[in-house]
Amino acid sequence: MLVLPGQPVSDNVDSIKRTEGVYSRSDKLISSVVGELSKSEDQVRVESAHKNSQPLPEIDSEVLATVVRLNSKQATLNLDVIDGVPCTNNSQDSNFQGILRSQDVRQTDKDRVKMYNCVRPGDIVRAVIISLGDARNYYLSTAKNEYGVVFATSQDGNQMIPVDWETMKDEHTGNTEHRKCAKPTPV
Amino acid sequence: MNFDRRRVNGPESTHEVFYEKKQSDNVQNKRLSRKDDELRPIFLKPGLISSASGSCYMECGSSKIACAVYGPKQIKNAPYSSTGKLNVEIKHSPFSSVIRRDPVKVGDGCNQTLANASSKELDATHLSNQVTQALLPSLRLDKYEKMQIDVFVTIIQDDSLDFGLMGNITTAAGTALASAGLEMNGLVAGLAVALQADKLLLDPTPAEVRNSQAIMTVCTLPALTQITHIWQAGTLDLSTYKQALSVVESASRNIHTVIAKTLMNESNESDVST
Repeated sequence: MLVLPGQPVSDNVDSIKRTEGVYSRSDKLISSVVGELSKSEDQVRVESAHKNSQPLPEIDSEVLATVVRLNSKQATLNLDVIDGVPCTNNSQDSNFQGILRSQDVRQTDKDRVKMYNCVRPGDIVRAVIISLGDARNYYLSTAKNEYGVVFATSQDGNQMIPVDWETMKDEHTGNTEHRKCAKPTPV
Repeated sequence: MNFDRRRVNGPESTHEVFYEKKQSDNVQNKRLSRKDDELRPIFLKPGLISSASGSCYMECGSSKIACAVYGPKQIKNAPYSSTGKLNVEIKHSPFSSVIRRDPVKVGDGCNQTLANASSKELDATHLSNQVTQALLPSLRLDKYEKMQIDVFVTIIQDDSLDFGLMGNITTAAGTALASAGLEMNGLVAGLAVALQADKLLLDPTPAEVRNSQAIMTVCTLPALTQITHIWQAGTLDLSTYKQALSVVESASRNIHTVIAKTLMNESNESDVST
């Protein structure tokens, strides 16, 4: 069923555990978006009918991000994919920016992290959002096996494959470079 | 091409200028074609501007309003805020009213440096402040941490003076916000009512506004029976005020039905096309 903002969707607020696209007001659940209503025992969802509705970055969202800048303390990244949904309005002024601080790169040996041995500009990194951060940035972390660089090119411009969690290899030239690699996940 | 370039050369043929026939004030003052509490038909078309997250084109009488919503996008170069920010920018096109509007001078709502500018600029600033106030309660801005939502309104033709216009802009902008898929408390509808010789005229025309003792614009969330904003000029006694509010409330429900139908149709169409 199609519902509109302001339309009541359920009366029993207490028994509903999980909600999406609704809010509660005077013991009623009310839809907050234009979308399709789906109800079950303990959950109410209104899925937005909007074509390019895009999830906003939240804490614990998994993102794919491109490294744009690097210094010894942190890397600056552009968020490309949030929770598996690509960012649609990726023009220069409206994209989401994240930073990866050196202490968030890995879990152990944090104070000996050298940023340029972990990521390089142009790399695509899988990371998780740990904080909504300050005005400018979202704070990212790669401190888990499955997070880190998923795509990188070598200094010669060839694509590299991960050898272990700290090294990547250019297959054409045989050179290796340092990266904090993501553990390959089965598709 | 043997004409003198240094002179102003007139066109080859000329026609006599003709003017629109002026209707007498008596005719304009009376509502002949509709009842006092009858609205002019509203036309709403969401999704007209494809580059925007959401948009809406509205016609009511001969007012024509285009409204685009961009965002939510990340605020940069501003301190952290736990709620989203709503920006409303209203522009009159130069040919929108009988008096030519200067497109360069028309100010935007968020620009405070325009405070000391001419009165025309203040008009647009004032109008966008009013619309912002009317829209804010409808949005769930707590959902949009550090985000900014921009609403751009272009008035293509203005036929209802500021009060009626503000109501129309609110309706159009509310529809655009909903079509952008933003989280909202409810749909907003705005409507003006004028008091003229002890009669309450809904959705007044400019002539009716000019000849009224009092006028007010009421913006509501009809689904929640809430009022978001009232803008009033002139004096109304308390009983008339109450009466006006109840008249507006029932009429706003009609506008709400129009918005609801439009949005339903739009999302049904997009289902078919995908």
